[in-house]
Amino acid sequence: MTTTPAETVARRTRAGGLLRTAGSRLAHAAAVIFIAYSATFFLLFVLPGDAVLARIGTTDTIGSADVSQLNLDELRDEVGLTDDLGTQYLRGLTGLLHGDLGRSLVTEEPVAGMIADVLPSTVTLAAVSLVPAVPLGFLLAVLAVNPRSRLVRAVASLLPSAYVSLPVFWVGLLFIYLFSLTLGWFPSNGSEEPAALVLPATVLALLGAAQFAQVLISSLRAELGASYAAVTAPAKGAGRFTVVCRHCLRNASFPFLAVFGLRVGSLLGGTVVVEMVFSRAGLGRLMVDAVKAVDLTVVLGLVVVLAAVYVVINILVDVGYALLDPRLRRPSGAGAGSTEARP
Amino acid sequence: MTDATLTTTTRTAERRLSRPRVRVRELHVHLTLLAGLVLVGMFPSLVARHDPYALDGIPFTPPSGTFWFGTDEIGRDLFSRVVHGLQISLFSAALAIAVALVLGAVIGVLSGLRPGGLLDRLLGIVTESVMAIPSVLLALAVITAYGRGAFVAAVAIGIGEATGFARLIRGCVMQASTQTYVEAARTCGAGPLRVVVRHIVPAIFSPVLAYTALHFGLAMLAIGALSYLGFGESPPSPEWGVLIAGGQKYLAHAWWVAIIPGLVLAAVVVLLNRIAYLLQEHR
Repeated sequence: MTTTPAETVARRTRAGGLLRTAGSRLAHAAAVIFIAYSATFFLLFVLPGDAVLARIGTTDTIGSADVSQLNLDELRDEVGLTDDLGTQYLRGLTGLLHGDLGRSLVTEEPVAGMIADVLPSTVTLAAVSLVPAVPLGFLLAVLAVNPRSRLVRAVASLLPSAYVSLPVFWVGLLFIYLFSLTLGWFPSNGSEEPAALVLPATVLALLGAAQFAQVLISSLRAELGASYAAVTAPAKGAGRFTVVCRHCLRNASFPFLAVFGLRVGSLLGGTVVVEMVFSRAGLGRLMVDAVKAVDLTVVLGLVVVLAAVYVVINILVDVGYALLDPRLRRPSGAGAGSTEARP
Repeated sequence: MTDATLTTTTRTAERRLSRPRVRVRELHVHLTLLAGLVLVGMFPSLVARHDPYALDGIPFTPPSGTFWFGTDEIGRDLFSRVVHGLQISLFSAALAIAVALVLGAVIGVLSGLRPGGLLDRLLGIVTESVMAIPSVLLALAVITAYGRGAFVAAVAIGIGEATGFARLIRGCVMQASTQTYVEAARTCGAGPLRVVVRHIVPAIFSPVLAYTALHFGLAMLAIGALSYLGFGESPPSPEWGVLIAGGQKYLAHAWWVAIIPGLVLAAVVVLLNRIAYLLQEHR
């Protein structure tokens, strides 16, 4: 069976369209990382603080007299802080293209290695907390719109907004007090044993579930008001549960996906704080230590890595859209709109 | 089924769901509570019966009639410290939100007036790049450059919050500027500045207000987290994050030192969150 020329052309443009979409998405992603890098670079290096002083110890600990005896300019020269800003920027940028994030100003270790060392611990925590967060978020959302009991609906819709109002670090302390110090069920700190993962992962899982549920609840309510759910499906004899689960949930998942991408940043931020509360090794500890030591290259490296994570997750979210919404699989998009069109 | 009956059905359903009168009363109650909090924040000595820095009691006295929230590790009255901390929290969050509002309004209006234009695309990608950096890390980067302290922490949080404001305001401006009355004003010869000030700002006021209320609470949480990590106010200041960080060491035998300030912070944020929700319902 041969294809008609028209079909071939259609297929070719479809493939070309997909390639072009993918290409522009990648260019966009690269631009976001580049701008995040540049902005942070100039923010940090225009006023390079006292990174060198931090490297040889703070002025408080060794006294200002000792500092004046050291040849600070020599040390600054050694780490390349005396070069002019443009040279430093270009050097950093070329390094970035080669996947080299430079060396720590304080310990002289390669930044990429320092981040790679602690990344598994943070990723484990984030991943373990996301696994229960998603189903829990969906469960809360369905409970907030479906049951006949007004009390259940009220509680299920109030819980998420109440939980996101709690300071994450404080919830962590509360958990330590209740489940570690009082009940003695789980250890309150440490990063090695799996049991130490339970409390921090629970704090974050509840946060994720609450954030997801909030979005799902509002989008489910909007979908339930649409005529297909309010009139057509019930007219065909579908019960309320069927309407919610079979008809509305899929449509209501789009804003959820968008939030999933956008909230990665805030979830990672939450992870950082939770790591500090439970004294876990991870990005949080690295970040806080780097800021305390004015270790500019480490802060910059963390910014680039986390911006890249954000960008990658948002690309995955776009793929998720395409999987959920068949209209988006057509290249010229029959008015379904891109990510930007979705709130 | 005709369109008319359809709309009636949904309207009845909506009315039954939202029950406007109850909601208005609830909003008024919450706003009164907020006004009370702001008053206490401005004049903390009205309710605080002890000096927040004075060693008035025995260390680690549990909550009681004299010391409502107990005392801390050196015998300072925790209630007075929490009340004085409210002032710092409210002021820092107000500063952060002011920074976010000004930045977000400038970016949002500039890009929303000509959506799809060069300026819009440029500002859009810059906004997205800032959003790509987790807000905690962004704030920490600003603190690395300008040093720690309550002022820098608040401004740093404000810069991170500005992206959300910019996106919201851009959307609202886009929506408002296609309205007939805005086009009519343009036709009558109103300049861009007049259109924005007289026609667009009033139209976007209410969604921005609800968003501000919500993010005021989130800014309080973020500032608390930064001071908890040691980058905002520093001890002996009664800032809530500092109080919680200080109390963490004594969690085992004096839970109240860390738990109560966090509970108060949570309560204030819940209040703001609820106000934001009610404002949104009532636009």
